[in-house]
Amino acid sequence: MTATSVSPGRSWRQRFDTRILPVVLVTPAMVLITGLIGWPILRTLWLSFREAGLRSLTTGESDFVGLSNYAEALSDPHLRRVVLVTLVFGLLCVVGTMTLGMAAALLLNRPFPGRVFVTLAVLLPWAMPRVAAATVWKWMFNDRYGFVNWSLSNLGLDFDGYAWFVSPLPAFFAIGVVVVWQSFPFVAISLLAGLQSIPDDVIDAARIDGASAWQRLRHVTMPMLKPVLLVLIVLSTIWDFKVFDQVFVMTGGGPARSTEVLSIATYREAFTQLDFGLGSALAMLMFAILAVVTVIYIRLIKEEEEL
Amino acid sequence: MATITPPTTSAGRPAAGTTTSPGARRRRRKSGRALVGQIATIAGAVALVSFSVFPLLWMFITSVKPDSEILTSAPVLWPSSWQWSRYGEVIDRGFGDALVNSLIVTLTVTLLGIVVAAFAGYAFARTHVPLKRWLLLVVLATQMFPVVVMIIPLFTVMRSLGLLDNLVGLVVSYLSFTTPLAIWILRGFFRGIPVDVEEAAWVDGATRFQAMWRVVMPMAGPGIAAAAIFVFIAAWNEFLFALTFVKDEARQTLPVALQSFVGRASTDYGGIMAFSVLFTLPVVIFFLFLHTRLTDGMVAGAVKG
Amino acid sequence: MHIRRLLAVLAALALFLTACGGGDTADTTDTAEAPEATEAPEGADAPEPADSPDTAAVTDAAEESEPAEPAGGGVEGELTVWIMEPGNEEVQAVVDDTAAAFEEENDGVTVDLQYVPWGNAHDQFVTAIGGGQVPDVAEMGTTWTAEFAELGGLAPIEGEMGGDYVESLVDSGTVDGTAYGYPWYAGARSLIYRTDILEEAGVEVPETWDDLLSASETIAGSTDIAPIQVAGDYTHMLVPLLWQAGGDVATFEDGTWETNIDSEEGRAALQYYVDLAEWSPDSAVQWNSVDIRENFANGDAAMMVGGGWDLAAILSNSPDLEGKVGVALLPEGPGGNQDTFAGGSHFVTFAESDQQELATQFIDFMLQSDNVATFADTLGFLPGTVSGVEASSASEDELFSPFATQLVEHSRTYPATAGWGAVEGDKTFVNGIQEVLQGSTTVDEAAAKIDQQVSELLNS
Repeated sequence: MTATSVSPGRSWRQRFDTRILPVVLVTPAMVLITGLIGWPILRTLWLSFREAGLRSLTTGESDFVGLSNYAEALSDPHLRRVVLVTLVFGLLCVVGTMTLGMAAALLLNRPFPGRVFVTLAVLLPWAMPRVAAATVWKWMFNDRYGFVNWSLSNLGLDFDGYAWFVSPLPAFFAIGVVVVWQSFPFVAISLLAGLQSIPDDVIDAARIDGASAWQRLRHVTMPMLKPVLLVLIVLSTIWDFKVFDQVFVMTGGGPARSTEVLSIATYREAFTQLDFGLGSALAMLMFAILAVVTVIYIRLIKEEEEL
Repeated sequence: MATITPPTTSAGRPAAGTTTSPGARRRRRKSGRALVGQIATIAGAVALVSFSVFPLLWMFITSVKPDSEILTSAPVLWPSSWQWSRYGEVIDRGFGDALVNSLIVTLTVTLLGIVVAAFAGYAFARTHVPLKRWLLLVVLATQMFPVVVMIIPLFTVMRSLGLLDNLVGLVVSYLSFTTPLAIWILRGFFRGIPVDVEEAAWVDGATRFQAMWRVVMPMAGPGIAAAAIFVFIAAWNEFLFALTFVKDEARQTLPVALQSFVGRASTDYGGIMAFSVLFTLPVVIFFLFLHTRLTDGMVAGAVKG
Repeated sequence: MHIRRLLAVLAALALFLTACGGGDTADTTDTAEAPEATEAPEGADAPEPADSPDTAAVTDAAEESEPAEPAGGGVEGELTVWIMEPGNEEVQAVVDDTAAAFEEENDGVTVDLQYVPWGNAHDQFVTAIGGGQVPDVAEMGTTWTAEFAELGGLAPIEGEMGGDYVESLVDSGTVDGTAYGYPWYAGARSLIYRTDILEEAGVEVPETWDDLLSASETIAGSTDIAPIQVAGDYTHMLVPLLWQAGGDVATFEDGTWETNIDSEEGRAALQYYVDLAEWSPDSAVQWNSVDIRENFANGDAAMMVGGGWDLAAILSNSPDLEGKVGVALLPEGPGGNQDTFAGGSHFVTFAESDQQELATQFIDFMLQSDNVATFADTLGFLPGTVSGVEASSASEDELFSPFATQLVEHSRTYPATAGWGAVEGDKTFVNGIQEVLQGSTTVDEAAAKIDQQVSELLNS
């Protein structure tokens, strides 16, 4: 802290600034967040150790079953596969989202005619209702009426009547396209804002020193974007691992559950099988996975002193 | 004191690393390269716009197609006649009321959410909040649970707070689910702003709050704009809470109203598409309202000063 | 203490926000007006029970004094009713009008109609029951009634229900001899076919399984459109084949459900479905009944299994098919019957509701044959009462009348138990048949697997 001359008013103010102000600034947010979500999270944790159906929610009675919900989640071959699929699919979506978002941001950061229009165009996929977006894309991937097969066939590829949603790999590809399509705009806009916050003179200085475009990106832009980048990677991970609507609309987890991801399995156990114990355990599993991945990211970027 | 990357250091690094490169020759070829760069930029922009906008264009064209051309073996790229009547039907089916509800909720959430998140984000980026590390993790952890599982306990909480079936309930629940991410986004931006600017303000006699409000916030303009767009779109699009917490038709928001086109016996695709087109318009307007903040160059000037 | 402070801050924030909320205070006025109107309903429909619900409601409201229930239990008879989103303005208008007529007949009663999207309805019921705030009356899909009844969410129907209801629909809402659902409307799927194409190919309307297969071969040989198509996600086309083959899903014996899918009949049903799949594209593995209908409407198929609502949608989307379609009862299987699933909606009341009497009155009103017939006709379904079916125009309309016959004479329901809700939610049959259609398993293996899973779910 800056050293200043000591006068009584000043020191009171300093104490207010360093001790009280931070608490005052943080309190409204913490109240809003924990006030509403805190109990539901604790409740989910509690339910994950219980055998609880719909009846036990209304009567409040349920049996403690220890870790058996977790054991079931980890021993069921289908659920194990779901966890693995979620990890791989989620990570690929994050990579796709970040790459495309970064490319779009760098592009939008350059001056060219019609830039506002292009920025707006990039923003649009994000603005669309998720369910409507997934519906439109599902159509576009339709085997016979779809635009995708029609245009691929016109390009001379053999995609006439190709069924995208019948086996898991192409189905996940199609879903991944939609997920990236809807989540890259947020990354692009945030990175664009980050790029705009970098003072021009810093870049100019590097240019004058003879740094190539790649070197400027690698050694000037990226380090300055790092805080924003870290946040975006963490947030994208959280969203892409929790993907629900797009899968639900496009395949519903089928055929024969082959495109189920963790959030769909969680929903199915809780709301269609009414097994709130197992559903809650799967939710905790999702939390654990995300927490681990987040910590790994933070470590990788060597930010542990900051967190 | 938060460690940020002071611009001088990072600017120095490439300078040291590139002393060997022949800068002079590069500068001579600069105009030719700039032209190539410009063409590449525009090509990239065209590709980006096509990828982003095509599905929306498809949605729009579907919304004005006659019913018989919506599902056809070869896609009908251009409707044989334009059916604007669907827009009239959509508006007749309570679009206006839902629009008003959505606007009230979304604007309130955006306004309050940004203020609350900016305060917290600043505090987490620049001051010593007790238990800072833990609070930040707690804030983030709330986002790591699938919301579907929490909906029943949330419903119970909302019921005991008297927040069911009114828009206040939606505002409160949206705030608690959007502020965590907004805090993290904003904290990232605040950390990117050099500390010396703020210190200069303190030396000039500003209190910490004044320095934050008058110096740091304006410099974080692009970040605040990005966070505001995030909060706006999150609240605008939210469906599950709006459906579960508000059953009264007079207080429905747009995403819930959209579902009235999907029925037991039939689905009105043309109607859904027309509705979706109208649904995205307010976001476009909000973005146009903010875009100058998002991309203005005033920041650089402020840093120099 | 912490929590209380949090709540206080939240409450303050809520108060502050009420200014923006607008109109939220309307409910207080309702409560204030309430006492004046108390006498009103006595003269009207139900002479005796009229005061009892009201007094009950008054005491309840006084005791509970929960600030959390703005619409709650209305002192005077506010009835919260959930209707499934019909996705169609005309249908919704019919419900609105009928409810308004009920309000008119019963002074001081307000009906708060809330439309719930179909796709989310099951979740919304779970949330309302689990979260402790239920509507007073709801429309509920017939296969869910037993599920929620067995889980304790629904109020049993006291006394006689009267004999006018379509029997299979009463059965699907009955658990252990107690009825929980009033049949409102229903539909049964029959065979919808293109008269012109059958004529062109020179085949008769198929009456048996074998007829259907041979007619399909002929059509496939002489035209370039698919004779009939199946979908991977179409339980209501698949499972009835089991009945037609002479089998059953499960029977209740000595307190357990004995499943009968891994059987001669079960395998025959699955195999027949696979045989019919010959003319469906690869993507049909992921289709549902809507895809089947859309393909038929597009002129891609000559026959389909569907209900009156499908036919109505087909004719409205493809007016050129007018006069070229016919309807017949489903073909008879080797079991000597042509039964199908009777699906539709019940009216139910909830255990937690404090408006039981008024709720029953409302349901009675909705089920008067004129009201139910108008509604079902508009929706393309059939009324859940025999007199309603007779009053419905569908039984006179030559094209639509087979649907009525199919429902009243040739329909059954799935096991009426909570476990069946789990089977539907689990998509046990769908997953099984999808694996066969994908070619990743055989009919025999699938039959065994489905049997075992259904058995587990029904008996858990």
